[in-house]
Amino acid sequence: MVKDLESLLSVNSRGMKKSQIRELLKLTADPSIISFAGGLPAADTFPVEELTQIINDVMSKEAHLALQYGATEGDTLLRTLLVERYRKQGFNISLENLIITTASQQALDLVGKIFIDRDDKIIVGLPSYLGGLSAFANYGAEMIGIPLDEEGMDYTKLKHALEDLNSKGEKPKFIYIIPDFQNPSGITMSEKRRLDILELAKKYDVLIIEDSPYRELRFEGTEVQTLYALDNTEQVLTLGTFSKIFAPGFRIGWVIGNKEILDKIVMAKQATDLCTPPFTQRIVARYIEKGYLDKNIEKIKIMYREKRDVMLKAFEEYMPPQIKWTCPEGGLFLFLTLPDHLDTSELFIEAIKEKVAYVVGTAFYCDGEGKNTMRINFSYSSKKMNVEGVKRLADVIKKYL
Amino acid sequence: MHWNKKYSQLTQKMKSSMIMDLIEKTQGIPGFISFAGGSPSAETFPKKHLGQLFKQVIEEKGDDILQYGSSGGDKELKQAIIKEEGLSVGLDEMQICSGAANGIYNAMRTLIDPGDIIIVESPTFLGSLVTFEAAGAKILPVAMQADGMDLDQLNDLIRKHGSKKIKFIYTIPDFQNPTGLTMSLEKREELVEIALKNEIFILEDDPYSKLRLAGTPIDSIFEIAGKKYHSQMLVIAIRSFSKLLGPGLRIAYALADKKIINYMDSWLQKVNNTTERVSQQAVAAFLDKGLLSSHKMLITETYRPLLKQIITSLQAHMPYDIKWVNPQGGMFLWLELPEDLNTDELFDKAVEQKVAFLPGSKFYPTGYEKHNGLRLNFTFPTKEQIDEGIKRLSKAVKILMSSPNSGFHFLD
Repeated sequence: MVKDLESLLSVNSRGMKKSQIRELLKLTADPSIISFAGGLPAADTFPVEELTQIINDVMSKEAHLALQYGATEGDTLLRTLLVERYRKQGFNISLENLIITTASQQALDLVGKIFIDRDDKIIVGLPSYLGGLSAFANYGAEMIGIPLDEEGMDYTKLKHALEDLNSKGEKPKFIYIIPDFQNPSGITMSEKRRLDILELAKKYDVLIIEDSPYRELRFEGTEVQTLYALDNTEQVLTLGTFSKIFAPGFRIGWVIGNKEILDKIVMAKQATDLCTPPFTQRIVARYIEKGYLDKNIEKIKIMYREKRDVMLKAFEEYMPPQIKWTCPEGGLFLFLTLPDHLDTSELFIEAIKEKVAYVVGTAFYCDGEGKNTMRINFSYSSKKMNVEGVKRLADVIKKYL
Repeated sequence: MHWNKKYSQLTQKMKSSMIMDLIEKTQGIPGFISFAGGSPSAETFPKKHLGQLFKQVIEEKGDDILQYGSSGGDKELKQAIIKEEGLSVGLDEMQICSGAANGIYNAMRTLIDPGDIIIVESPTFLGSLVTFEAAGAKILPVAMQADGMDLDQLNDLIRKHGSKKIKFIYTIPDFQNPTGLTMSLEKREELVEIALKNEIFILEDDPYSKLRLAGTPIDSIFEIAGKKYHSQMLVIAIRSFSKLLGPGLRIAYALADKKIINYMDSWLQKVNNTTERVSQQAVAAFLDKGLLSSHKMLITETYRPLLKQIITSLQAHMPYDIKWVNPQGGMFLWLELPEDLNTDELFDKAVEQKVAFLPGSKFYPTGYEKHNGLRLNFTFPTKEQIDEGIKRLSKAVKILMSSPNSGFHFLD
């Protein structure tokens, strides 16, 4: 009998911290809780009818391909369709510039794996997406956080950070940016900021990782070009996914970028899961081909806009005047800032008692700050529940003020 | 930009498995016969049943299963597997993973840091070698014998390197890839004893045991550890539906101690978040309907004549100096040429004859390569292709043997 099983495991595993946020999220499983915590799309956006029809087609006509092993870089048909889609959006790319991953989480992990050695520096937003931070932390990255303003990552602070590193002869491995409807803040980076940051990246020879899961869900305002398309010199790797515009259960995402880098990612992917399921890839490909994806995106945008509007209105109505929130023009999230002396992890327990949940803001700050902030998802619950949840949340906050 | 300088150290050393390159070389040539792949025959995919089940699960539970799911897998599938296989494990002692490769990756990350030692059968499945090398593990080979890995060599290695640095022993006990050999019951028991005595894990990779075409089934190492030694703590078993229902689904599972599964789930969450769920639910429904046993029979009935054919053809066409052990199942057969012949060279000669195989050198850890073996897959080509392909391969072998520096002079 082994007495100390843990001692036989990898240092990396033993060092793995139980994610506080995961522990908190477990509390939200109670169905009577209105949860603004998850990053989940609304289930009524799932195209069940179209899907069953396409599955029928795929299984009767191309099961020999869909059920067989596939290439690590992904289904050529799906890649071709995505490349065409992106070319229409100003991307100067060909087939070799796009590979399929098992959704964005895998892309983030593989990016971490191929670039980061322990103690390498990377630059991230304050706040930034938790799944990204955790994927990079996993490879021992040292994170330098740059605050956001209304136009995205603060240019002057980023410039200073890069200058400072440069003066010490150091170079960050990459800058991690979610330019559209950022998770968690909901902020969209302005075109000027994108151009300025691209220029900095070039000057200091730093790669930009552009994580773009929400971009197609813009329901207001004017579209801003992606960092990739603004540059088109392969200074940028762009990550995309079907999770928010189709269905997260399908686990399909992609990476766009320089061929050499993609070759490395493919090699690393081969050692992780060999290939993304060819079955689901082929279904999504046929789904796009039939024009269903674009129709579905239009439908989602209308739904989410209504949900956001209802929520913003409820904030106006119920929240005390000291509370500030962002007004995203798309995506799934908005961000709440409470007065400095309040701690949203203390409030969380009370909120659960009042049957409403959110994600504690500190989870998104690599420097442990943001104690007075929280992320709110407006896409998952119904409009009615959005209003009711905001009411409950406002009551909890008032108790602490 | 100079990307090369930016990659992590392990990435700079990373290499591809090369299998795809070799396979691509020979694709699309008319009349070409390939024994190179590791793919099951597409004819065996239960596409009609699966098609119905996909439709059914999406219609019935689309709202749930198109959403993110639990990292360890859907409980409906876990329960269905436990019932189907008669397993005595809890839901927390199982992980559903995205194909066996993903399960092996999660287990490996749970156990090793760069520089740790992994012991493998030699030769062994090259996909796993690539995975282990990419993680910076030091890989030490133990020779394969007709009844499984050489346990004396294993004991020597443990004595030499100490049990602390050696994290696990990787084995494919049934119809091993690439040799087609099966580990005897006695060796399985002894291996468990060695693992327990030295506190070294066993990673039991089991993609093929359901594809038994002859002989009597042998208990898995995981079962033996539980039944005979009452401790499964040090065994991680990886089992897959790829060879039964189709690899395109990417559905496999791991069995292990619940602490280990807990860590493996954390790694899966970091790497893939969730295993694709529509397939999980469809496979669960397939098992619940009791369709697996008749489907297994269909597969073995498809493969049995193919195995018989390849053995008959080898006996009929191969020169006397070529040796092999008849497998009792699985998908592969291993040929051994005399030691001074090189199957990397044979590959080019074979391609000229419009036939392909995988050269044996790919199946050894870096630095321990041997060059006189080759792997043949017998489940993908038809019976007629097998006979014609073996004829062509025999011709290529004879041509290689008769080349001036080979030492053999058949055709002189």
